[in-house]
Amino acid sequence: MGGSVDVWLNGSKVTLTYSSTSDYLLYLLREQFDLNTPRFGCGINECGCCSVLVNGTAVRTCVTEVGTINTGDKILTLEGIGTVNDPHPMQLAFIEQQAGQCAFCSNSMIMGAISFINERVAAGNQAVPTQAEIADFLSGAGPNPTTPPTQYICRCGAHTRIVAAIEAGAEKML
Amino acid sequence: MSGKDVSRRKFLGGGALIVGFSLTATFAELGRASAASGGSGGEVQNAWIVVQALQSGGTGTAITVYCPKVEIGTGTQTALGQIVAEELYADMSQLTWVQGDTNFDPPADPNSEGYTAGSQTVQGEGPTLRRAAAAAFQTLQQLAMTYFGISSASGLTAAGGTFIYNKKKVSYGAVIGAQTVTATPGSGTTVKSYAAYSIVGTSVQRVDLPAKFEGSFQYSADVRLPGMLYARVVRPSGRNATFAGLTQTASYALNTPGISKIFHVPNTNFVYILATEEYAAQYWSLANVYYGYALANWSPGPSLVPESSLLGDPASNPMTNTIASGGLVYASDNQTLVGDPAGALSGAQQQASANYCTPFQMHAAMAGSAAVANWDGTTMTVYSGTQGPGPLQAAITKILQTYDPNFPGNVRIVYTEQSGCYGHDGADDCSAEAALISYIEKAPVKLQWTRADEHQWEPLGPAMVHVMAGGVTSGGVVSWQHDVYSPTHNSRPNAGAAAGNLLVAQCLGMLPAPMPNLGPNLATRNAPVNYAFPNSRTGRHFATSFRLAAGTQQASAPLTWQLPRSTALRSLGGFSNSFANESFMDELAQLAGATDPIAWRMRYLSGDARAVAALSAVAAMPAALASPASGHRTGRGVGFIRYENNLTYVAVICDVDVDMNSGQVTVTDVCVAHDCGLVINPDGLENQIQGNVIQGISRTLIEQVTYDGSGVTQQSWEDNPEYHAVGYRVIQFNQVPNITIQLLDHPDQPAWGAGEPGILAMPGAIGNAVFNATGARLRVLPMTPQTVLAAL
Repeated sequence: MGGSVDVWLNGSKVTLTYSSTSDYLLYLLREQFDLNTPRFGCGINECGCCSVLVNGTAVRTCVTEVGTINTGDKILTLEGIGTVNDPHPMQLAFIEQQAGQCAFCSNSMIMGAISFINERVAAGNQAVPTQAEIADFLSGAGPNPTTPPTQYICRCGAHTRIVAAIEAGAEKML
Repeated sequence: MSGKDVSRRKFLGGGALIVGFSLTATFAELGRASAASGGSGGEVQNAWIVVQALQSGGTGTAITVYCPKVEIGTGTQTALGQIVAEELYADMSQLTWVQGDTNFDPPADPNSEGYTAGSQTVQGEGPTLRRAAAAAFQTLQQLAMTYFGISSASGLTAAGGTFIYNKKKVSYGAVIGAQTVTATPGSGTTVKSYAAYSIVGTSVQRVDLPAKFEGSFQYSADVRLPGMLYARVVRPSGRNATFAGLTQTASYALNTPGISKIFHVPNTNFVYILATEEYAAQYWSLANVYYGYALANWSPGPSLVPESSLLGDPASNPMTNTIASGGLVYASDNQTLVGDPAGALSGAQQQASANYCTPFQMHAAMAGSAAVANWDGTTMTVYSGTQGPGPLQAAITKILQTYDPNFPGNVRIVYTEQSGCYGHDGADDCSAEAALISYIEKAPVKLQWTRADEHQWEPLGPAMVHVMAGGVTSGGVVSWQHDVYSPTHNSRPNAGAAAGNLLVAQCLGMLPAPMPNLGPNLATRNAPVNYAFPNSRTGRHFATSFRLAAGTQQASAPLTWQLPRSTALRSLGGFSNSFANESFMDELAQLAGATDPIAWRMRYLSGDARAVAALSAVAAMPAALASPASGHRTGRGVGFIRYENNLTYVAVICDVDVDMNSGQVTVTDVCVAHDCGLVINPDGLENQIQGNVIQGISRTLIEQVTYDGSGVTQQSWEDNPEYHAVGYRVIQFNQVPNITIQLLDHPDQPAWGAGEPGILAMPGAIGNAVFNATGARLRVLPMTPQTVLAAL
């Protein structure tokens, strides 16, 4: 069943239209708003490239049905959290640590990391995560592992820089 | 029309200094020696440095580099930019790049630039760009002398794109004014002394990363054209399958909002989904691939040679037996032969032999390949993540002319970065498929490869077998023999027969290029060792991937695959060859009773001071080996390589922890000593080395393509029950070790590549560490818990 839903996208009120409530958010966001992120990496909930924040929590838009989005939800994409001249603390940390090679995965890493910090804070944990905690989170091996693991994949081998950047970004955020 | 005329016609108006030069093709993968010399500028021009004012007729300085070599996510644009800015006394911020646009190819030689590949960009193109930038600066200096009315450059200085004389400043743009001045590097061109470098050798931040971290950077999947349609390909059921009709499901799918058509191109094996909304195309692609809602029927065709037979006993292995005896090997010879290795082996006091194997492995790029093609009735423009815009242009032209003999042949490739590729991945196939669909539809089309497309249909790094033999007398090596068996490491598209290497060409009935002739730098890259043994031999045996016409290296028609299609994966044969060499080196050390693997290697490298220096450096790096937990053992292993036997040196020490109950190997610490000559950007170099280490661990411990008679069975990153998908697993974040790197800088020496060398040293070092920990020698990759337990 087609329809539409009014949401806040990167701070602006927009109307998201769809043919069916089972349409996946990834394609709607990219087509209707010409966004470069979320990115298509796997389309089957495995790599994280398509992550956006919905009300502060990362969701994988390649398998998120638009029907799960409610009127007034706040959706943030990588374009919406900061700019080169005024970056989000996590973006700044990624630049400072040069935490990427091809950087196609950077959307998943930055959006996932912000969500990770947000969730820890919401649970009353204000501590900067250790590198081991960050690595486990990115491996889908955190406190609540899923099957298959909700991991974040980097193929170039920028892993150590990404973990260091998330640690540094968390320090800036907290 | 000469290249210079091309440059005048195509560059922006207003005054400009134009320096034309030639960036020669990278043919390392095609068997030529690497080109490391500075270009003379006398060849056909295919690259230009253009210096202008910020606005026509104004002041300021804008430097544009038109460069057929492309940034593939490794930081070369930044490193090459440092070299240009250094010689031009300019700021990095004044540089912009136009990369890989075939509109700037010289008509006389549209294929001149070749590929961006093989760890060649900084070492091959760096010196050429340096000389071109120096020629530009010398010309600018002359213009500045005219501007200031002086006859000598004495007292004239430059910095940040500005000349200063007698406290008066003038921008490069202003000294050029309205003139168009051309120059070429020549015998009078002099480059800076390394002692004067202020940009080269510093960790300048990557110029591309901020936009990538902000989301404004456009990858190939982000190209949008008005009226663009969305496509997915419906793949055959197997490598030798043929089309047998669309299904009822396909008819039903047409009722889905957004679906335009599901189309079988007549008389071919090419079927695609076309949609006005991308999700509609993706929905039916997912249903077709993962959920069993087949959109087309296929006749399966002959089965592939079973994977299980490729990694086993060489006596019964089709990859180590000749076609004449029922195997796949079509050509063999000795690449190197020193002394009498056979005689020395039989006369040795102690003898050893062993077989090493590596399975097919994937590039497994993060992005599904994506390309946008636009046939506007006159020109076919393709936005592509290819490593070779010129060769792809030629291949697509031939494919479209095969489809339609009236195709006018006007193809333009605009390089648009995809995710990191690590060699020849699905980007070229996807681009050619997009072009055919756009030509048929007469509309702009975006083709997005799905995860299943990428995993099941990308050209793979091939399986390899190594038959090793060695002899030891009086504690020293007297004989060393290494026979390499491998399918091809190059099926890149190109002009001529190599257009047929692409999937869509084969769907149209075109045959791939013939299997390669025996060459030195494909399967056998780094198969010869740098160790000075008195008697040694490197044998090479090339296996075919498809049935050959009798007595030829040409595919028989119709094309019948026997193995999965294979091509260039990071370091080609170097990864697997070095695994066998460095492991067997330790096997001979054990035979000889040598207990120090560093000293054992130095003994045979004594004539190469930089090799010895790299080993000495790495030996001093690690802390004491960690004590194992209960039920675990720890060990340490060494690996050494010199890339292509005459370039970058890499020495590594790996520490591993082995869980003796589960067989799980964990690499805990890696130390790397790395000598690639002049270091252009230390942080960028460390980034590349880290990537080599981490990908090397992944390929050593985890990665293995699985295939059945039809083709690759993996369609995802993990085993994924929801999608009924088997995963091609790669390293996870919590499997990454501590990595310590020491750069051995030689600023007075040429800069060599660093994109590949590091990965060669990893598998042998890990295998040696596992042996050190457990006494078990792992000779087949990957070293999984199952294979380690079996060896224990």
